Amino acid sequence: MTADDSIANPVAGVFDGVSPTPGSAKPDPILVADEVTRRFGGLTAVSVEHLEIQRGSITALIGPNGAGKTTFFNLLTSFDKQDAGRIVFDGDDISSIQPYKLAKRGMVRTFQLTKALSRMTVIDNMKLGATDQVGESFWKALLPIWGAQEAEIEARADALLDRFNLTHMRDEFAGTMSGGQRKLVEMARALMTEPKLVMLDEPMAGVNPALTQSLLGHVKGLRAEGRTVIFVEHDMDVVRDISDWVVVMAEGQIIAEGTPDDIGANQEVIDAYLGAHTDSDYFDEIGDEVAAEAERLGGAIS
Amino acid sequence: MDWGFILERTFSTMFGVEVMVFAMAAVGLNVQFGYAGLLNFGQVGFMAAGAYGLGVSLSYFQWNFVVGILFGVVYSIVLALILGVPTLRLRADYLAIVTIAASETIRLFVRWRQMKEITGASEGIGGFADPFYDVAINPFNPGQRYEFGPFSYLGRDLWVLTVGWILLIVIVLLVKRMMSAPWGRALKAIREDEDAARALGKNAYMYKLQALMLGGVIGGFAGMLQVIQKGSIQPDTFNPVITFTIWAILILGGPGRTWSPIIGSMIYWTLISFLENVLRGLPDNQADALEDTIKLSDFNVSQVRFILVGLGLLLLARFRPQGIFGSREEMALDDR
Repeated sequence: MTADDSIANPVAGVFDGVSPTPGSAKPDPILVADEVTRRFGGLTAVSVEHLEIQRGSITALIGPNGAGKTTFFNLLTSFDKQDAGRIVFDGDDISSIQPYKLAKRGMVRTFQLTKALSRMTVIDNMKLGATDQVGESFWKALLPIWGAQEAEIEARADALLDRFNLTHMRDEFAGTMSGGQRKLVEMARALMTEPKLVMLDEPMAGVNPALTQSLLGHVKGLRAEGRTVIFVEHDMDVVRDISDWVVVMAEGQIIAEGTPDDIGANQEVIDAYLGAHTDSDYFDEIGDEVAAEAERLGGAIS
Repeated sequence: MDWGFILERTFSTMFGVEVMVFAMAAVGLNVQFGYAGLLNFGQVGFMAAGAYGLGVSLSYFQWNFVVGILFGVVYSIVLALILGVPTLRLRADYLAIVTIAASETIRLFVRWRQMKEITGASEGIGGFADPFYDVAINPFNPGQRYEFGPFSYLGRDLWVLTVGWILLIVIVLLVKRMMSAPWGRALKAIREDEDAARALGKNAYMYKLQALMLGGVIGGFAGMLQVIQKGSIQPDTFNPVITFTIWAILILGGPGRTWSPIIGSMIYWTLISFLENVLRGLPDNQADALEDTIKLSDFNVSQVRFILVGLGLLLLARFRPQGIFGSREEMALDDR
């Protein structure tokens, strides 16, 4: 992770004393999962004994197809209910909370299949993200009491659109945007909730390389602002470039944890991913170029 | 052909009771479907709830007229809760199934013989609407015919129309206000994608329930106005065809637009009235020719006008699927 030394990484060095073993304790965990199990009939999709996510870091959740990453992700965000186990977010037990309550507590997620609200304008997409809106209550919506808050929300939305270079799309329907722009809007919209923890489900899926770099920069920008990021990803270059810590799942369990360098050298992970094959392209040189570009963008943002 | 008469009838229809009642019901459906994306195929059930809430309160319980109106509203809200609470956590289609079944259940229940004492069974309820016409502020003489240019209404209808149109405009403006507020924005977001709204902290279930209730109460008002104008409640007028007509009107106008239910209703009923009056007013030789070729008699004119309107709706769906007010670009975004 030499590349990370050049930009603001508030958690640089925080993992130095952390043992790279599944379930290892972190200095200041924001999210803790304990004995979390999810079964679909006879199949145990997720069985996580213990996982801690370090506050302020970028943690990648990786694993081969069918490893249970997305299921685990849905459990962490309350979009699915675990059959057993406990999830603690920022000191509070959120094991059986309704998913809509999490945004207010400071956890927000995005989706693998980007959910731009097509028939709403981009600015409306953004304004929707703000929590605690007075005018969202049925009766108060009729009263002239939410105008000032609305103006404040709009200003915040415009600032975020500017940061994500989307100002020119402000009044367009979100459905007219390209796939990559939708990813950006979804991330920007999530930030409207002012989250402590941002959960990104495959943020780079289907995005062209140039935009990937821009997205990477934005993710680093989140860390520079002191937010925690967890993301599911398949692209190993991305994982290597931006994550401080990597959690590897296979067959519903966490089989390894560690820094990207630890994971790259972990034989168990390589076996889980590739079976008998070993692929030299696993963490390759292209990754460094992407990293350099991401640094540049990340630096510009923060 | 007496074009003066045909046009007078057509113009009078444009602001008539049917247009007003169906526009009101369509405004309710617009809240539910146009903004919240709820598939309510039982809007007539809400009209029945409003009508019977009013009628039963007045004729069976002998309560005050205002209390009757209040109960019409309460019945509509209760119906929305009964339909919404179990289904709105499920996929959208469940609400569609439950609403269409419930609206028929209501009709069959109120016309059930055991209910004779309360709902009047198949004979319905009559003679409850008088307090509405007897209020001191009613400036119109019920029996007199009033003419304004091409418009001509009975005094009795004119009073219903005055109250109804004012109420309708007020409701449309309230709905417009709600939809431009953050509440409406959240509702539209839920229509677009429930999970995205949830992830951003919106309680999608509550919003959908509120939308179902709001649209249901507006439907209830439509039912109340309808039976007040008729002066009686007939259970079999609350049949599913009414629901489908309301849908046709909403689609015609364009869902999710402020004024589309009113314009849709105007176009629908004006067209129906115009066709009927033209067909009935044909000179004898043309009428005979039509009767010889397509068996069009006075008797089946009322069917033929629906066939023609159906053809019109078909053409609309083909050439202007977004309705009169909808935007084609917006509609094209649907499937992406």
